[in-house]
Amino acid sequence: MHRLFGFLVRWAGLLVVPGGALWALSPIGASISETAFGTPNVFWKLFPSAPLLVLVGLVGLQLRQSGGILEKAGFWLASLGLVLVVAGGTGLFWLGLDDTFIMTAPAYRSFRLGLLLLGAGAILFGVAAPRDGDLPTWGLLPFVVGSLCGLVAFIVDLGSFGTVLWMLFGLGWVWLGFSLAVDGLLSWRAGRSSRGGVAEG
Amino acid sequence: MTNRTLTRRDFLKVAGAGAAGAATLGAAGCGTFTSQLTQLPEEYLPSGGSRMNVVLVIIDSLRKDHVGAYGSRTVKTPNLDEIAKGSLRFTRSYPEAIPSIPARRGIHTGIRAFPFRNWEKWYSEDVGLWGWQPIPRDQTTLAEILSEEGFYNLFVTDTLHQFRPFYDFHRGFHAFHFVRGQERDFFRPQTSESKKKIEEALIGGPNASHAEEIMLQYYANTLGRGREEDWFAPQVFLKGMEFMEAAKGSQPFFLTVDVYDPHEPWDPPEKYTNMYSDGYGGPEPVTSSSGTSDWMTEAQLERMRALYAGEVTMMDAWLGNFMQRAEELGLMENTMFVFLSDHGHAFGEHGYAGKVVTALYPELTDIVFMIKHPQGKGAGQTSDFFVSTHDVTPTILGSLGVEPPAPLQGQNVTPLLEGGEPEEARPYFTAGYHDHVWARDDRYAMFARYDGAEAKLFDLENDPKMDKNISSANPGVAKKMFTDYVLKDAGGPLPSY
Repeated sequence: MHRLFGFLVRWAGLLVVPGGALWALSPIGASISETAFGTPNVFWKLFPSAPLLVLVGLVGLQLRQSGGILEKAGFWLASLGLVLVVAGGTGLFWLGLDDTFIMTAPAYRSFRLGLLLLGAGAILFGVAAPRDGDLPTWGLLPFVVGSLCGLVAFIVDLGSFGTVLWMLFGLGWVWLGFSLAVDGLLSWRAGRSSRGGVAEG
Repeated sequence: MTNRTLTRRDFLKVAGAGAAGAATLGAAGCGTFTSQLTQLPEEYLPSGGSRMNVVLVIIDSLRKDHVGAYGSRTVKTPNLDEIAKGSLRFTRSYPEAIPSIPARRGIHTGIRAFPFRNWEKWYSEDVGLWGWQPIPRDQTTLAEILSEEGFYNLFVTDTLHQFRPFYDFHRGFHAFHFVRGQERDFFRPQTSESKKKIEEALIGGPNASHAEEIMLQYYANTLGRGREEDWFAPQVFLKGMEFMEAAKGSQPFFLTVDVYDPHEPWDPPEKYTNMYSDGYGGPEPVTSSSGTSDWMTEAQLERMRALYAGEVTMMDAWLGNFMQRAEELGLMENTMFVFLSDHGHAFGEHGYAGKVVTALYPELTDIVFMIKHPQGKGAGQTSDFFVSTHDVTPTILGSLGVEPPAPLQGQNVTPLLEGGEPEEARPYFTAGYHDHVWARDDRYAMFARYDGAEAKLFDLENDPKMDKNISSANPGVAKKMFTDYVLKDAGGPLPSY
């Protein structure tokens, strides 16, 4: 049981792949929802699943890391951002919070604030992680670029160009998860050859 | 810690996978990046934020001097007066174009209808006044902009000229309702019974045959009315309440309530007329037959004023019910209200009755304009900024923090709500009505024909009601106002048709 838990924790980081993919595809989802239902909000109701998957994945990644202060700060900032994005989206599209408090718009403000924290936190995490932890540099570099793109798109609505930046943000997470998988595969192969060597010796 | 050294072979594998992915994307149509950009969705953020609702109330033909808050001591408008207490009230408000349709073009687009370039009459039955035409297709309406911003837009009106679909005033509204039957709306067939009612009306004056045509149709449209709710202003505000209730679940919303009363014909329920008149026994002067007023006796003119005042009070009463409903729905704290009229109406002042093109006096040009902000900004204060109909769109957009897709000619006057100043000073103002133009500044008011001829000039400091024409003694002033104000605003000589 303990081993299973350890295994799940170790590989939970891979959840950033589906989370990031959903994030990257979300503008298309909103567009399809607009065409099919006359409102993008049908899709936006489903959107919190993307940051939720990323959040679980991020926790998984962090648990693998030894982690320095900067990386931890990035992790907590990004996690808080993701929580706010999920809470904001739920409040906005499921609970209708802003329908009642339209002037203060707590759900929408949470959502937008969450995006900013997420963007900033992801950059910090990506920059600090290679120094502090065991995530591969080749996976983190595109992730940082994607996070930077995301932060720009979160700060100001840039239309079609912003959509590209938004998608790159999601793809950054996908790439990070992909690098984790490749790295894991390499480690597993290296471990197997090393065990094989002992047997032969 | 595991050995994470990336061998050359491993790197090539990863790079190969990446290249394959990129190639797949390319095959899927990435082609040129620029062309792809244009096909991508423009929306990637959900809509929302501090978006208050907006309710725009347009009241046709409401004279400024017939509202208590603007100084009327005779006409009862308790609800408009109460609204004024919680609003920023503009004391120098004028339509940039008269009458109903040109004024509404400016209201809905933020772009002036004056100087009426490229005007054409759209169909044989249409009103043949310059600028009276549909909203041009290349102009974006306020409702269209707000729709893009995620607002749920609703429109209710009995202003009949907007009913023909090609007039396009319903563009951008998710739901619109036309209350049929006002004036000469071809709503119900005329019958012998309805035709007989024409005997009750006072028909005469310079446009008698047109007035009779209107009344024959109007009586057909209104035959059999019983309860007060059957009158037009109540119908409009009741539908507005119904729309408001529905919209509460789709906030933020933009609701336009465009009420034609107190436009003629004036036939309010008796209880309203009785507030202003008694002992009159002749045919009812329910319409003014626009022109000189000397065809009516003083008693008939008085009765006409009473009928108009009664209709103002009826409209005000139902506006009050509408505001009460907004309060009950809990919308006062997150809804901005804009109230304005489109023009006034003459009742014998200066020898005219109706909306006479050559008589651009305060009874016709002065309008009501108030903004009630949900946070009480500007409440109970006044502004003498020359505000106009085409300022409505930029003001509403400005208050919501929405950038218009193209520059507008009107100004965002929301800074005035917080004691500031609009972006550009407006030391004078100009307006157009058919083949006549009007201009004023702090000192003078002037109106003339489109070519500057027949100019009349008035000293507003000493003659605010514009009773004494001083143009012959000050020809330079009138000419300067025409050249420096009218022609400047028009961007050159005015067209004529």
